[in-house]
Amino acid sequence: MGAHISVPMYQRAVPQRYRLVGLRCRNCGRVNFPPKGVCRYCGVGADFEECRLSGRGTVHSWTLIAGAGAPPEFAAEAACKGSYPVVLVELDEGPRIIAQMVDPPEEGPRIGMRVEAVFRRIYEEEGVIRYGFKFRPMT
Amino acid sequence: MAIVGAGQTAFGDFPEKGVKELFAEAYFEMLKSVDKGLDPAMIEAAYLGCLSAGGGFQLGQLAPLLLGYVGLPHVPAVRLENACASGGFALYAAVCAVASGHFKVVLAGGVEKMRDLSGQKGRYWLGVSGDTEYERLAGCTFAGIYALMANRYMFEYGLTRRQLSLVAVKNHRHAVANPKAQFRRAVTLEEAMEGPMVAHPLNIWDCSPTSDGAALVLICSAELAREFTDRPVYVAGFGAAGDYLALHDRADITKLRAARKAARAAYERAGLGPGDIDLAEVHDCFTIAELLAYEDLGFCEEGKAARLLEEGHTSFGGRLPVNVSGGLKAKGHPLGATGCGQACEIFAQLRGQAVEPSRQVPGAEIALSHNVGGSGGTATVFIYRGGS
Amino acid sequence: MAGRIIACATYVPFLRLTRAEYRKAWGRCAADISEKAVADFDEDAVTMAVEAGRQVLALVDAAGVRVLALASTTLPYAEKMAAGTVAAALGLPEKVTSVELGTSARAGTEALLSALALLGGEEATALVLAADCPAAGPGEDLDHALGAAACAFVLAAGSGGVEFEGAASRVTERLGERFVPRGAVRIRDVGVRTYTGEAYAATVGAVVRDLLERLGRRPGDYRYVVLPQFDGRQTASLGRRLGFTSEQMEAGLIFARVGDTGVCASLLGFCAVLEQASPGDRILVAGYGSGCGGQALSFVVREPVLRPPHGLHYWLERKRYIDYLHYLKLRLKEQLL
Repeated sequence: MGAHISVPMYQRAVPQRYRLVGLRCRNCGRVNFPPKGVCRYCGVGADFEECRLSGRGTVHSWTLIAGAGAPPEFAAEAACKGSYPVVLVELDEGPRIIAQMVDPPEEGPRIGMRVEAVFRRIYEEEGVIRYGFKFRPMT
Repeated sequence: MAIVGAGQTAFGDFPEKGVKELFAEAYFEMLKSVDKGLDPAMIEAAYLGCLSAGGGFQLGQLAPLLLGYVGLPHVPAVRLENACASGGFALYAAVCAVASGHFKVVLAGGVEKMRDLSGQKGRYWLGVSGDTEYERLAGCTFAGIYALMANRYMFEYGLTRRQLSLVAVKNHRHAVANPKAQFRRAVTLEEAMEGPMVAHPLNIWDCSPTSDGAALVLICSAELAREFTDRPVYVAGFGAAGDYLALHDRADITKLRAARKAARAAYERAGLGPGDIDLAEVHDCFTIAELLAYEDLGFCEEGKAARLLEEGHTSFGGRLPVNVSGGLKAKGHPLGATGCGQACEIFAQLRGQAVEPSRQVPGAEIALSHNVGGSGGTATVFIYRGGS
Repeated sequence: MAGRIIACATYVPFLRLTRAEYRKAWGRCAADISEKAVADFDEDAVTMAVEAGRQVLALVDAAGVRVLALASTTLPYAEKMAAGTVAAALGLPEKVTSVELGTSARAGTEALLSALALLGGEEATALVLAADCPAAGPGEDLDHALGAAACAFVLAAGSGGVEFEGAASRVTERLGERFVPRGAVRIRDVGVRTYTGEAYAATVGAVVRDLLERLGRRPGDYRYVVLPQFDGRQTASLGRRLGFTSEQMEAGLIFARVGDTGVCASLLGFCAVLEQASPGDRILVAGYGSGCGGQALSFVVREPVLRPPHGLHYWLERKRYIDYLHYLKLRLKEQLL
């Protein structure tokens, strides 16, 4: 049982999920990610230009999801990994975004840790593999 | 506006009852609770909170289905949905409807049937109310989202694992005296600290359960109140607010701005402040949520929630008992029913009717309820004043 | 067919399984490895290809890529090109000419040759991505060696860089060597080790001799030789038989640390060599697939390749050891989904 995000809906977000394409507000210059209809920062700008984010950022908070806390489409991953870390990352360009962390250090994630986006399988539904970004500790 | 009747099922696990039976049980209890009786024909409208309608079997037009089941097929009824705050928003809509003068007697309530679902399907429904495209696809249900808030709060304010567990210990202790509660069993601090992990730092004892249940309150205009009872409970203040749905869009994840805005509106309308509150039912879907609520509702300064808890002020017998019902944590959390379930508890408390004397907060006159949707995308706050 | 390599990069997954874990689980390890790389739950040939691709595209302009050659025996779909996914993730122009190769582990060298051919003399670049995470039944000896890795190369027309000098190629018919029946996902073979060894030595040996003869070279003309690595002993022994010294072979031998990486079984070693080669060095690299085909390619270093900040050594050292149970769960993940 999945999150009912249809394939066409996932498809529309491919620029965000595959290569972190954000929107720079032409009014205030700040970067919105994921895209917004009205700028999340100045509250008025509705005219944007696309920009590709570096994928680098800093862990603002984190958790470890165990099987009992995983949505069904991630249950197998939680079962296989035991648990998986999820991080709220503040990207260098400003916006924050949530994603899984891969290749975590033995002691787990920590606030302030530097991370970079990587391309991974997110989950599979209707036989279609949904790829997207996760974060990995930077070295 | 006044509440003149309230009824709720026990919260818990009821394999023999569906959404309709649960609703009817709360409805009949509500009818019985109206001291001078209610002719059901007087009910002009119904606002019902519900998220999943028992696993999605009736996502459309649930409200007329339920009203028809209790013999009120022609009452205009609507289902409101704001996840865990669905019940709070049903109450808010009902209060606004009466405040506007358009209606004089309305029902506000909520129902949820969660225990029919397998663990997998239950977690499916627990993960449909965040920013699904991002939060869920990061592999999070709400436990994960609140865990992110908890870890940040711990980082900023030095909150400890033990202090989180103290919330669970308190609320489970309270629930022992509540016949409507799902878990009428105290837990020790050791137990609460050692539970199986759900989303670090939150273990199973930090999380509210999935529950079946329904709750209903009868709202009328203040002028009509005495026709139904000599002991109405007045809605002195009410507020509702929203926030960016996704945690990643919020500047500060250790505060719920929706709850703060809703509280400010409710306090202003009531002409009261946090110091006036005699008891509160707050949205402790996770232990961290209760601590955040203390700060969002102005019960203490930022970063001081754990101290307020540890000093016993929010326990039964303290100066501001919180969740004497057991809260979502131990009373249970049937999502759509939760917000009105809080109002039911306060209706009983402010009328001196909390069934078991060990739960009745003595001399309580002013109470507050706080209901949050998801991680704070929506919130409602109500302030009630006893009328006797 | 002229052309040159101007950049390369590698990727090795984080997880490792040691020989000791095999011995604990099965009483022995059938492969000549000290440890092997294991793709994580959320990795596949596509994600690994992107990992390697992103590194080289930090060195050259993605907009200039006109050719994309993708090699893998483990692309996630039996029908549906992976090139589109990779191109979208890497931000390559949609106008890229793409090919996908993967009916044997030889696809790695096939991709290099195909990209050179497709590039022709055009003033543009070609991106070659090779990524593989082959798997056999966990109970089979064949699985003990199977690892995971990816590499990326940027090719350009003309001379300079690491210049392509020529290639030799052969196909043969050998029954029962390393195959995946249609519809299956796991590698099989007939399990006769001497037969496997003989097929490997005969096929790879033949193309290497073909290449030397065609270019008029002797084994001693090469500073580095990288033979395909599906087994450590087999590779070393063939090298000796062909007249190569351990000094020529050493830099490109990485099997023992990552295992059999399918289409990367020689390209990963090739990258290791490219990272340390100096102008004037000659490099021979050979590919081999399923008993039925081999290729040998010759390069001469005119100038060193562009290299990302993290070379193969970094990826080999960046690791976390897992136990056999964890590995088994990864191998059986289709059953968990």
